[in-house]
Amino acid sequence: MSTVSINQARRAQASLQKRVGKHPEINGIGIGRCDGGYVLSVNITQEGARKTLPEEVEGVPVTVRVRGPIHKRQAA
Amino acid sequence: MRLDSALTLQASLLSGFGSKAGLSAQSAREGGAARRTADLASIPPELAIGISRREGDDYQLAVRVQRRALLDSERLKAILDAASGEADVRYLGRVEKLQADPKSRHRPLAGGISVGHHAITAGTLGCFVQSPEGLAILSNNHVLADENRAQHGDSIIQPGSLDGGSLPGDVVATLGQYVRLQSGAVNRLDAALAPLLDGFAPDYGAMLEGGTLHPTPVSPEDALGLEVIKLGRTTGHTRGLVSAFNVNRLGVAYDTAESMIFDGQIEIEPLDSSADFSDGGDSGSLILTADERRPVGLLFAGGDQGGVDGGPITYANPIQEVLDTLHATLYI
Repeated sequence: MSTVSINQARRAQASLQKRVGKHPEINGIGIGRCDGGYVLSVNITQEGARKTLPEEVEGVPVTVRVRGPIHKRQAA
Repeated sequence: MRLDSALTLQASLLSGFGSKAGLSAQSAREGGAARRTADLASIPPELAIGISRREGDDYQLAVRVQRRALLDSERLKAILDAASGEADVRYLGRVEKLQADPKSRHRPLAGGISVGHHAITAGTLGCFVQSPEGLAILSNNHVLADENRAQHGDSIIQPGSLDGGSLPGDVVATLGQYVRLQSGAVNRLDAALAPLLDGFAPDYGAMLEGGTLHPTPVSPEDALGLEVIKLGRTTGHTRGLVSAFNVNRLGVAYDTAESMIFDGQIEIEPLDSSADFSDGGDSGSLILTADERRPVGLLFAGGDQGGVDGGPITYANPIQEVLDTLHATLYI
């Protein structure tokens, strides 16, 4: 079980955001939960962006998912 | 009280047995004899009795009331006496059948139905709030204010134009205060209010599917990992799981900008991978915790299947931040 605290996760999020937040294929860096502890949850739009992300930041695991584009949810 | 005691007490009350003196929670625990009384002989259909858990193995009666007058009735007092006060009483308002179509015209208005600025297609009426401009509809900027393109006082129609709503017959509110969307800066909210016109006041906490809302929102941090529900114009009632919070640097496509950046968002995955938690037209839906119906977020964006391993996803603004920014309180 992960022992990452919420404060650790917040610090790591700020650190990761500083490093890769402006990457055009990264769309969303949040805090998620895995195995009872906090993780950084990163969404990317292209598989290629995965290699720019570390497996962990300051001891906090990083989970990565490739997602489609995000739109407002107004009726089409 | 123990579960078996609660079940015994419930069965006694529903069959018209029990008394203030003769069937208390204490005597139910002991399997005490029930005695028929006039007070409880007939329980009206607007008063339902179930069982809820207080904590651990401690249970209580769950009393749900659909008619306000019953809150002060002798019948309810007798039930509470019989339970020795171990009861959770909630006023629900009128409960409607689930089949009601959110895209239809609804009077009285309710949370979860089609609504929109007259120039847009349709979104969802999230809920009602008390605001400095009076009792108002809460939804998104892009639903009520057409992405900043609308003017204060513009007509809001129910249902939205895509669902057959039109001017002037379907006007129910006018655009009030909203949070401007910014294409050159980081956004936190896509939210707007529309004060109701006279004669359209809803019942407290009215939702299309019935049921009331818990008055206390859940913080995004506490919502992480919780099961949530929403009622929206397009996909109706769906269930999801809060998969992340404080999602920053999230780009969302709008009509007026290819990508607006948002910080501080709540992410929701569908509970059932075969069905999306939301789709186009659900914007503005209020997201609630599944167990206590505590408000969590205001749905505004999402992505469909298309990610290699991501699947559909929904994003929402934290509801307390929405309310604080618009100086509004939930009308529940």
